[in-house]
Amino acid sequence: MSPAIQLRQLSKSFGEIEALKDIDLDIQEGEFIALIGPSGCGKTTLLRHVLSLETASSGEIMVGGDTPERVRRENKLGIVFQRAALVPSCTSLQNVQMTLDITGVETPLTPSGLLDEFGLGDFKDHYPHQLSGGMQQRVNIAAAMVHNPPFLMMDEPFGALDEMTREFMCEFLGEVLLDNPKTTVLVTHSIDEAVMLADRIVILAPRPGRISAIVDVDFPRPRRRELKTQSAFGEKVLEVRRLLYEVDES
Amino acid sequence: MTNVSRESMGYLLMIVSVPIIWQLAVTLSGLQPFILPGPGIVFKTLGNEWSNFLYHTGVTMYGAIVGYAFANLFAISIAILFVYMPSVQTFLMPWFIVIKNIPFVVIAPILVITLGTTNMPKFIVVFLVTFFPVLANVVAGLRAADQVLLDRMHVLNANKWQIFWKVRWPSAIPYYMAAHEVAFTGSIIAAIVAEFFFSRTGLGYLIVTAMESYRADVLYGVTLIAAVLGLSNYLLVVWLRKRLLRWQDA
Ligand SMILES: Nc1ncnc2c1ncn2[C@@H]1O[C@H](COP(=O)(O)OP(=O)(O)O)[C@@H](O)[C@H]1O
Ligand SMILES: [Mg+2]
Repeated sequence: MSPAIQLRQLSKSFGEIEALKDIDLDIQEGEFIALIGPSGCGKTTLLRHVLSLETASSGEIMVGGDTPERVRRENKLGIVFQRAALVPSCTSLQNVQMTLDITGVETPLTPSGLLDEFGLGDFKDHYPHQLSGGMQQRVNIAAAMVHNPPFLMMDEPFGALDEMTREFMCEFLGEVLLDNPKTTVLVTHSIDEAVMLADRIVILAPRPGRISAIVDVDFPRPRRRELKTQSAFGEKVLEVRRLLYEVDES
Repeated sequence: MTNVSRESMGYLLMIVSVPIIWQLAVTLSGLQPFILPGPGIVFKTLGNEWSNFLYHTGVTMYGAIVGYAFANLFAISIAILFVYMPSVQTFLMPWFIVIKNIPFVVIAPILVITLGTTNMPKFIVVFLVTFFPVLANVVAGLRAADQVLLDRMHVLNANKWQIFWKVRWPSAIPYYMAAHEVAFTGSIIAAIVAEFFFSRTGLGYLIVTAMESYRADVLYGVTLIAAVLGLSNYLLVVWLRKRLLRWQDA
């Protein structure tokens, strides 16, 4: 079976800056990839290519055997940015509903049901500014997956949250994805988060943005946060950290 | 005390203070009533000639509202053109900047000569005075749309219409309301000034005839009416903003 997402010699320059250079990566259907690396190494840029928000300078991207543009037109993409992409004048429920209104997709998921599942049952009629950061981000994730897209891209979705909320959201996301399997790419700065969630961790190096290492993570799922207390988890975190330090020193 | 009642207290206090300070000024300055009439004389004039004042106020308001309505219609349409077709802006901007910077008191007599003593010169003067602030604010508001939301809309394959109604227009509303606050009062001022030049009706005409016949009481009456119009317009906009932007302080 061909991979769900295929990057072939993907390169992107912004003027002098080589944001990405010769990226080769195959992502399998249902796989969870974490992208990690120092600031400015092209993580966001890579994600934006998959979302058809950028066009490659050279190389090729295939998503579900098709171009990103076509996949986007089929409403198969979901996106979560670091900052919640919510309309301030719409309630939680309206913001989630909006995804369905725009895509016109029919899914077994309902905005209301999803918000219940996300623990926001009592906050459906609240406006974004009335919600905490963690709640906003949950609405944001609900809005990103209510049309049940087979591809979910997340750019530091928990970056702005405090440690406890972050940990909770991380476990929560793992559970949600277990129930609604998707091919997922998560950009993160947190090694813990990457090890908790990913099947593979892709480590990027900057200038030019390139893949420097890939680490397999094969802890069984569901992964609860107790996993963090086990030594195998710690070893994996160390392995990734060493690889990241190498990137930094190179 | 709640904020609202505290605010209304302030207005109430002002309304009570004005006649007192006014009367004090009359008494202390010792000026003759035909130069500085006291509140008693002015209110009596307003009472005696109320139908006359009402008629001329109506004429001025009519001119202001018609001109302002057209200004809004055009300003919003052109703002949308600017945002979606930047080349239109490149072409029109130099014209707008020149027109905007010709003082409208200079344009008014020319309009009267050209268009005669119809309502047209008044409409046009009001239009010229109010069009630009509304245009500038709506353009700024449409452009201030949250980039993260725009990206989300793009990924969801939203069409231009949906992006406009769900992201750009909501983003412009607060800017638009801010323009109203200034421009609506501006429309009344512009209508009165336009009436100075040619009109046989309206508050501007009343001012001119009152000056010719040394009717200070009428002048002060018109001033009071203008103040009430300006203030009620301001309060109307504030009320509208509260209703339209309910979600902000809900
Ligand atoms: N639209 C753009 N225009 C110019 N340079 C850009 C643009 N987007 C990203 N870059 C540059 O590309 C590099 C990679 O950026 P980015 O993908 O945002 O990195 P990351 O998400 O890993 O922090 C950076 O040097 C950044 O300055
Ligand atoms: Mg980034």
